[in-house]
Amino acid sequence: MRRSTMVAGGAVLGIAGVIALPRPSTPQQVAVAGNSAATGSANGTGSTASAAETTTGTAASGASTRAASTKPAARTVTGSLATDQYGQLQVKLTIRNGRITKVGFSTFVANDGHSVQIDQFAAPVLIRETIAAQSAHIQGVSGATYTSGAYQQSLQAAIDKAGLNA
Amino acid sequence: MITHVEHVMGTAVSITVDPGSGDADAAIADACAVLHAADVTFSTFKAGSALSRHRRGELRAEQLPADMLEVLELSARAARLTGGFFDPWAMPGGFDPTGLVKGWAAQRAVGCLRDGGVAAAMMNAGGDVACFGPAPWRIGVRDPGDPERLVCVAEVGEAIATSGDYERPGELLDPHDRLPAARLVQATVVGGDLALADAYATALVVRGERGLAMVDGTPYEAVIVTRDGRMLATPGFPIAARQLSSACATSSA
Repeated sequence: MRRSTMVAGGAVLGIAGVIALPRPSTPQQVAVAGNSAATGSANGTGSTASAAETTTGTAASGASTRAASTKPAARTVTGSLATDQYGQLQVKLTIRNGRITKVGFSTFVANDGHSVQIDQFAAPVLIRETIAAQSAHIQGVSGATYTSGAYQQSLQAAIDKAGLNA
Repeated sequence: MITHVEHVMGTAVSITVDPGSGDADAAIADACAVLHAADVTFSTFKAGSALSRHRRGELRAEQLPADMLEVLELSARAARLTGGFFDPWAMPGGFDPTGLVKGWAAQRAVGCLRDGGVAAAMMNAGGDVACFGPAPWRIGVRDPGDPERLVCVAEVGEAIATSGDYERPGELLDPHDRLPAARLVQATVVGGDLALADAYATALVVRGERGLAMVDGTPYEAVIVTRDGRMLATPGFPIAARQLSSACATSSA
């Protein structure tokens, strides 16, 4: 299903950040934050909570110290099915060299249409990456609408120029 | 690949075409004609445009051009989908679908390229991209704070739109009080239709982080940059993971 989409690479540290979300506790955030740590009120949150907390700790305390003592093979940690008033969520983490390399939701079921929105609002992943454009091998750039004049200074203009000169 | 840049709709429209066995020049000419026609019909500056006449109440329903009816319908749909956070009827000068027309026209123009038989094409209308082809296009999402950098790269099969008020400060209004509102630095939305992606992106910037709930669970995906510098994406956002992974590898090496 759609919710099982894996997010790799740069999203990793961010996922831990979201799971251990240190933000004001609004109902929307309880769905995920509650599963991992905050409320512990629902059935079956135990395993999910420990998986999330373990990996959060790994990411936060610095991967390099852990890397030496962890064997290089990737392993997958799947939390148990967590059920709360909003629905069911199962977190799946892939860990290599002590670092989370993939985070996904292997199961994401909501109780009703309203819960879908609440859960999915809580589920967005946090990304930490800034890429130097010249090394990204991109074919276009999306950004807030530029004027015809501002276009001349844009990355898209540089890409177009390369294409026009090809 | 053939590249063409057309200045229309107040911006520069970049067109990149893989001709395949199609006639790229003819297809590009047709596509540009669509853009210019939209510019004429929906001009808010020209008193004689169909939009200006509609705004003055000079056109009866049966006199409205088919394109106007289509945009009116699309505007209503966008307003409903965004919970009223994108609303062409709540603009200072009356009904103003400008924020939607560019994406609508580009999406339609890309349809011309497809009908023209080219193998693949991408049209970038001032930062909003519609495309098609056998493989997704790699589209960078710009860093709102630095036009030379990207915050991520997305693999886009159909459309990607980005909104923010850093290019034209104060231009985004909250339809509910009609005051300038940019609760996010930037929002980018990927999906099947450029006009709706653009409407979602604008609504997200106006509404803020909470607006993610309105996008998620739809066939659209979003990535946002918050005012405090966080970057959040809906779980299905098509990030080019390989690029992010290699960037990680480079930085940790």
